[in-house]
Amino acid sequence: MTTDWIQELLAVFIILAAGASVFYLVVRTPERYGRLERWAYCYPLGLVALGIPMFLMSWAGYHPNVPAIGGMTLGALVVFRLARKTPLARFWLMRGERETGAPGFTEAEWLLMMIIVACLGMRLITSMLAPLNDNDGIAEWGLKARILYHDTLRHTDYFQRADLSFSNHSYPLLWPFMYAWVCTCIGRWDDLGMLILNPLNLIAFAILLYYACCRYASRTVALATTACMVSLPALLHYTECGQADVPLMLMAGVCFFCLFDWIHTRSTESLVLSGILMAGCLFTKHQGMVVLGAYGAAAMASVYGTKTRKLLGQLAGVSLLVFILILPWIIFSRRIINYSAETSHVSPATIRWHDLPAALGFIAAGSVEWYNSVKLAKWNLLWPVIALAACCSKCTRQRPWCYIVLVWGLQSAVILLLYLAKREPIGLGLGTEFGLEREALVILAPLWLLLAKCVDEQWRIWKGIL
Amino acid sequence: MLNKTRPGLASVMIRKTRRGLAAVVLLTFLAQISLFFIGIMDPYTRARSLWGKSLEQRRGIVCGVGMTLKQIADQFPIDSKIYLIHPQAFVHMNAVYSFYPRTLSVTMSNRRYNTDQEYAAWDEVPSWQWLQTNGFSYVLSFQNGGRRWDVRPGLVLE
Repeated sequence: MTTDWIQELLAVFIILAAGASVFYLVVRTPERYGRLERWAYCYPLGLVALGIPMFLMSWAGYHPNVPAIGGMTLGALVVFRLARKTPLARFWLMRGERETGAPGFTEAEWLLMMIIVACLGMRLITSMLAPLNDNDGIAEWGLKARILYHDTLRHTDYFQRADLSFSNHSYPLLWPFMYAWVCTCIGRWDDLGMLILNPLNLIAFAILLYYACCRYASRTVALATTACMVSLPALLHYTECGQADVPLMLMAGVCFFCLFDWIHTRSTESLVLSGILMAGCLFTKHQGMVVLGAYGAAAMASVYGTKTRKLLGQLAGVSLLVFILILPWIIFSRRIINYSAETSHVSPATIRWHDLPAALGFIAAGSVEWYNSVKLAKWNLLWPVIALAACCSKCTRQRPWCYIVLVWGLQSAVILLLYLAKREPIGLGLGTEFGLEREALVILAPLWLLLAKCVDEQWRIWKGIL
Repeated sequence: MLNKTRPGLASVMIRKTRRGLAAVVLLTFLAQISLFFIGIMDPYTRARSLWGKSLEQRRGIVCGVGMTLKQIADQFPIDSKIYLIHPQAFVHMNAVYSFYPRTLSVTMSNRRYNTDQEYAAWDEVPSWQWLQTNGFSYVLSFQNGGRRWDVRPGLVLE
C-alpha cells in the first residue's frame, strides 16, 4: 500500500515535470506569475505534454513505459535548461511581482482560506477512499483507460466493435491515457489509485483561479470567488466521478485565463500557453470544439479595431500550433466509426426547434433548483448571484469583460442546439439533466473571473470608491 | 463655490440606489459562500461511510454491481473469451469494464447495442460450433440469478 503511494506520486511528479518543461520553455517573464501559480500551471500543461506523446506511442504500438516517459520528460527539462540558460531554481522559486510587499491575510481572508482548504481536503480524502463507481465513468472513460493500459491503439479491436458503442468510441483519449499512465506507474490496473488525479484537477483549478482573479480584483474577492467555486456542490460531486468534464473545466478555464491575459496585456507567452491548453481541451472532450469556437470568437473580437495585423499574426501562429498538436488525433479519429446512437445522426436538420421553449424552461428551472433528480445539491444560489452581479455591474458592458459574456452566450447557445438535435428529448431522462450539469461546469470556468470582477466592482461601490 | 461642488438630489439618489444594489449583490454572494457546508456534505458523508473499511467493502458500498461483477470476473482466466447471453444495458456496460482484459461479447454479427430497444431486441444465441470456431471458452447469463457454461460439443443455449 505504501509503495502504491510512492508510485502514484511518481506518476503525478512526472506529469508536473512534463508541464514544468513546457512552462519553462514558453514563459520568459516568470515574475508575472505567483510562485504557487507557476507550479499549478505545470499540472494542466503536463496533462497535454504527456497525453499527446502517449497517444502517438500507443498508435505506433508501444505501451506507456515509466522509464521511457520519465527519461524523455527529464531529458526535455535538461535540454530546455541548456537552451534557456535561466537558472531553474530562480525561475521556480522567485517571488511574483504581485507577491512582493503584499500584506498578511486578514481574519476574513483566513476564514475564506479555511473554507477552501476544508473543501479541497475533504474531496481529496474521499477520492482516496472511493474506487471508480460512476456509470459513465466506468462504461466510457474507465473502459477506455483499461483498454489503453492493457493494449495499444494499434493492436486493440475496440474501435471495430459495434457492441461496445455504449462507450462512445469517438470520444477523445487524453483522460483515459492519464488514468492508464497512473496505473502504469503503479504496475497494475488500480481503479482507486488512478483517481488520485481527480482532486488534483480541482486543486490546480482553485489555485489558478485565485491567481487569475487577483489580477483583476482584490485579494479578498479572489479568495471569496475561489471559496465559492470549491464549495459548489455539483463540482464537488463530479470531481469524484471518473469523467472528463472536470478535466475539461480545468483545461478550458486555465486556457481562458491565459487568453484573457493576452487580451489584457498582449503578452505572447500567455497566448502560446492558451494554445497548448486549447489543444488539451480538444483532446479531452468533444465539447472542446465548442470551447475553441467560443474562445476563438472572443479573441477575434478583441483584435477588432486595434493593431490588427500584428495581433492577427499572433492568433494565426497559435491556431497553427493548436492544429499541429491536435492533428494526430484528428487523423486517428476520422477512422473511427461513430456507432453511438446518441450522436451519430446529429445535424442541423435534426434540431427540434419546436422544443426550444421547453428546453429553455428546463434549463432555467435547473439553474435555480436546489437538488437534482437523485437528491444531490446542485448550484445553491450561484446562477441567480451571477445574473444579479452581471446585470448590476458596468464591467459586463465594457471591454474586455464583455468578451466573457460573449463566450458564455456562444457556448450556451451551441450546447442548447446540440441537445435539441440529439435523439433524446430535452427534459426527459436523467442523462440530459446530468449532462447539462456537467457541461455547465465547463461553461462556468470563465464566468468565475467575471463574477470576481463584478463583486469587486460592487464592493468598491459599497465602499464609496467608485 | 460651495453650491457648485454639492451633489444634486438626482446624483445622491443614483449613488444611494447603486449602493443599495451593491449591498444586495454582496449579500447574495456572501450567502452563496456561507452555503459552503452544503457542498462539503457530499464528500463528507461519502468519506464517513467508507472510512475504516477494506477496498472491496468500499467498492460494494459505492458500486454494488461493480463489486459483484469483479468477483465473477475473477473466476475466469485472464485471457478467456466469454459470450454473454440475454444482456441488459446496465449490466453489460459495467461487465465489459469489470471483465477486461477478458473478452466479453454479446454479438455474433458485430451488431450495435446502445439503446434499451436494441437490448430488448437481442436475439443472438450462438451454437456451440460458432462459439468454438470463434474462440469462446465460456457462456454467461446474468438472468435468473446468473449461470455459466463451459463451451463443449453439444452445448445447447436458450
